[in-house]
Amino acid sequence: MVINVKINGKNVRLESEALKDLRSVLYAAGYNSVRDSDDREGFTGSDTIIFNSRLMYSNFIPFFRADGAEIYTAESLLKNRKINDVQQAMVDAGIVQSAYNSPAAALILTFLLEKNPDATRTDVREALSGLFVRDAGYEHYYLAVRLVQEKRRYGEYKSIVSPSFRDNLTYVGKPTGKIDGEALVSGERVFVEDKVLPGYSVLRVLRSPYAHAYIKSIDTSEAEALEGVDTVITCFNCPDVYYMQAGQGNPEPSPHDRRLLNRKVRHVGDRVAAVVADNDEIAEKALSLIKVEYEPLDAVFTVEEAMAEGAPLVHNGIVEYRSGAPEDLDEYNKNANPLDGKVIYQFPLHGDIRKNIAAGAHGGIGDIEKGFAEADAIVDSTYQTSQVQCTPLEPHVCYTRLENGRLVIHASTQVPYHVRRIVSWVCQIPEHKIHVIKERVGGGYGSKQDILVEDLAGYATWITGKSVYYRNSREEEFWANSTRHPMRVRVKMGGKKDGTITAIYMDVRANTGPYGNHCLTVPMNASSKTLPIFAVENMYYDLLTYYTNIPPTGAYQGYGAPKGYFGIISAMGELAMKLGIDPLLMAKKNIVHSGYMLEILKGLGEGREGTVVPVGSCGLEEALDKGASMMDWGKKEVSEDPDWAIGKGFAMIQQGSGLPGLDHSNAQVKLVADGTFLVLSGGADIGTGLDTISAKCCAEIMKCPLEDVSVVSGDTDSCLFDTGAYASSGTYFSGNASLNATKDLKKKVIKEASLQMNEDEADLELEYPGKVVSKKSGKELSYKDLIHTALAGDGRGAIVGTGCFVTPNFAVPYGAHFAQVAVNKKTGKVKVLKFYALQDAGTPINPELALCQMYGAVQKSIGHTLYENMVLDKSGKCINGNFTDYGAPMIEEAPEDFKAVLIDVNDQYGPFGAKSISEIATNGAAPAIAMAIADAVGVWVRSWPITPEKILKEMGKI
Amino acid sequence: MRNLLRVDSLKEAVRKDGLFLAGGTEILRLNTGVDENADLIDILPLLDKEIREEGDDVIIGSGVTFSDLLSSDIVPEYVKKAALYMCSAELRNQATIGGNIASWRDDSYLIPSLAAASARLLVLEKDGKLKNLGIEEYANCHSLIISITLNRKESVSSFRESLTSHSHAAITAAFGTNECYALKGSGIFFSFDSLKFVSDLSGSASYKSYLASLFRKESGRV
Repeated sequence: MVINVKINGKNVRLESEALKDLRSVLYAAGYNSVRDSDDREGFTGSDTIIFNSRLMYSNFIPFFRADGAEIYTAESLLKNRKINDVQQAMVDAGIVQSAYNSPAAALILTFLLEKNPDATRTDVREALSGLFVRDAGYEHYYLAVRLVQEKRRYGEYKSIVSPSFRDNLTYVGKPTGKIDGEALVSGERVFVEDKVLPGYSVLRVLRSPYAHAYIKSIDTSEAEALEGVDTVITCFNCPDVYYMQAGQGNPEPSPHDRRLLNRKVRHVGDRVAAVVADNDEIAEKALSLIKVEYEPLDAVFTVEEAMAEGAPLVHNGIVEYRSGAPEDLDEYNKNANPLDGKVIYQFPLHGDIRKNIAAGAHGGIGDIEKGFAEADAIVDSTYQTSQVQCTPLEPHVCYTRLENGRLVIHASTQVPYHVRRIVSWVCQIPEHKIHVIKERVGGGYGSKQDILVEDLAGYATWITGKSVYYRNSREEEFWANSTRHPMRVRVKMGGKKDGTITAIYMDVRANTGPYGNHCLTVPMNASSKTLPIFAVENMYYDLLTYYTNIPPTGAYQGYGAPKGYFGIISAMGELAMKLGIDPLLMAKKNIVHSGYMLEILKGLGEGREGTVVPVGSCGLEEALDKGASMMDWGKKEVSEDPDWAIGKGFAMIQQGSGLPGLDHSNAQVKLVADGTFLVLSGGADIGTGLDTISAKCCAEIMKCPLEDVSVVSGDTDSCLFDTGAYASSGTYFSGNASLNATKDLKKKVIKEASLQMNEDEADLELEYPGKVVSKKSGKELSYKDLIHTALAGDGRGAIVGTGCFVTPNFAVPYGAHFAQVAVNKKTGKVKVLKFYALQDAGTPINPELALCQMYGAVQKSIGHTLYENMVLDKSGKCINGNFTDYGAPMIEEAPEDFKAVLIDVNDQYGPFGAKSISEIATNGAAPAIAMAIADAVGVWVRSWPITPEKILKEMGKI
Repeated sequence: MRNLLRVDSLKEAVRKDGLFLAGGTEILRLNTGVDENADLIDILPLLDKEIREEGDDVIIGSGVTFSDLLSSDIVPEYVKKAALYMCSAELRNQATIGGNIASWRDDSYLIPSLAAASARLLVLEKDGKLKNLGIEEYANCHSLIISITLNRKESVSSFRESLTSHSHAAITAAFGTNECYALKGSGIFFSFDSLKFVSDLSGSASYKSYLASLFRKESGRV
């Protein structure tokens, strides 16, 4: 049907089916700010529009109803390509990060301020009640509204967006806004879905209904005969190539234990077949025509089930080693089942697949038994974390096509170079035949460190020659996306009456699910990011990871550390309680300080021997002291309502900044023909502001306006290799590479200038805004003139700086998180009243973005602490694969008093003294909230999520 | 394949086979369990969207949205409290009162409070006759709701327990002249003695049972 509608003030004629959702029609008509994150669930608000003067979800508006309507989308906010003051304030406040629904947020807030210019915090909360924000938290949304109100009232912002750092620097440490903020908040076509050209084919996946089964046969004949079906890929016609979807450095510390499609399915939702077809309807029909004969097998879902004697084996195939194979390997493989395929270790990870063990590690320092013997009290408790989902607003998505005989992959990824490598393995083509373009990433949080869709889509295009578009449904995100490994963390801790911790033992049992993505490194993180915060002489860890048949696991912001911290800080709290001392005093008595040698790291090296290093820059004690003061630590709060009890808790935390000795970043900086700059960074900006860091490094060193710098990143054709955005490596590794490239460019510019100016290099220096100046003669040469001469017919050529960054040095961020909760003694309900996150990020290069990442990470971890949990039924099917049932936290769940504080510490190795910021911020909420609940009502809940029901059970009420 | 059915009157609508489409937040929402192939009958333009007073009664047209309820000066506070259980502003702008009652959700926002307040529903039956029903009588009736009548002087206390603001509630209970419970996984109940508890994603049976007893006690009913 055809309708006439007024959109953004203009009369428009649209044609579609009467019951088609309006969102799809608007997007197809070019209003691409109207996105979809929830497949018509009515949760995330990415599809919000103004419809006849009301904010509504366009997914719920059938097309016919728009006839005669007046609609506004976020595109209406732009005037002559300029963003409005609300959008500008959002950029300035730092909340435009992965930005998938930032345009919708801008529309909502603009509408709010039109209706209510004096909107209060309560009004903002109400306005954003239907918008899911996962990246930046909600706190700076309040700030953005305040900034707009101030600008409109006074002509300028009165509120401080963030503190500034390093007075001697112009851009670094200052809140400048993201360089891509305007594009993102305005709804430019920057995501993978926006790149899809007409004439594409769709890829759809038939998924296993069984948690564990052999595929006996697949009949694809009817599906292949269907008109519009191009090909059907199954385990019987896919390449016999084993690989790993985890995007880690090569050789990976994860086993190659899967092919594109396998003879054995290992979780409900595992790939069975893939169809390439002309459109969704044909693909759906084709999937329904595929006949699969399964041989179902018993499954295991928990670590305990996987450990049991005689447990079904998730992988019972042939084990191979690329290096370090044990001598008895032939004997080990004697009873392997070929239908299970192979498990190929790149090097030994101490796995034993005949016992469902994917990987293991053991080690420690001192004498653990002696330590426990010296203790006045010992606690020995086990903590269980749940399987939680990254829930990026933009699901996993990929668009692949051929161009000039090469495979082009438009990817939403954290690891473009690992994508290129793994797809080259799968397609069995050289890497130069593949061009990966990392588009803007609408939320990653670790899940886009794994190559979960690009392998299949890339292969489909390579064999068919078709352009292929693939996008996970939200349900598929729950069934087949990577998630946090559920872990059982047993902590035994001994201490003296004076608060000295004498020994710590950690027994970490991780559940890696069907495949071994990150199977060593995630559980290792549970110890390697927790034990080194303690200056304790006797510490030991046992780490074992088990294969099971739950949906896949992988990387999630914080990696293994949030699980480890939940255990170790909770145990410390329990020990302090047992000894009758203040846990904060115990913490301060046992934390590391700068210079302390971290002997414990020797065994915690991601499969290799780790490096023993001293603690470097460290703001931990200051974070604890400042947080305690802000929280009024030690003062018992009493609620005015007798039904509610108030308690306080805290956690001290650390993380890392990339993987010294493993990570590797490169960048180039070009002096462009008009004297401006182009940074080509291998680093993958996933919304965090990494490109802005690269631009600031360039502008700071070259003494030019920030506006004179553009950044292209994560494009494997244009940019040099980078291991990717994971393990908190962006600022430290990719940032340092951009800094080194700029320093190299500076040298070359000075050298060229000395030749053009007939001056000694030693007499030349750079001056703002973009010129070379002689200290001796006073002569000046602008970059524009310099490069014009260099590129002339008789010039010496282009001027390009190249930088690489590898290091053995650690730049460890530290912090302390404090929580104050109220617990309803009758219902078990928990309210997080206050949350103060204090972190040492070295020099925060983008301080406003850093604060928002802290808010976002804390909000996520409040989610996994109190609400989020993937629930499987007896067959292994995830039964809450949507936002509502899953329990994703919204603005109502954010603490009312929420503060992020940056502790000012300058690091020795980071770019301009910077360290990482965001992953560490996921570590504190669980232990701090658990401790606060125990303080409030006297019970420890040792499993995620800490639900009201669990609290009531611990309190003996039910 | 769904088709859109347009009608000129509500009487014509009730004679058609299909699902009534009003605000769309139930019918068009993912995972609501409605028949994805059923035809949709567009009734929104024909619905009463007014809120008016008649003596101590407040009459709310079934096409009134949750947002309309909240912005009205004459809607009793206990109804507004129930309307706010729907946590998303966008949903409140779209969802209609009639649609929410008709969907008979086991985590219903409104039904417990309306039932507790002895609300009456004016419904149009298939034969074109109007009928006045109590909330309990409406169960499984599927007639088209025209309006809801409430007494402003009713005193209702309501309780809702959900894990997050947007989660499906384990229990929603209200107490006034009557009592009513929406129990996730079990349905709507109009007396404490009839409650049936099942364990599901929102909580165990014993948890819900505990809360039902607690809320009843808190309301002063026992």
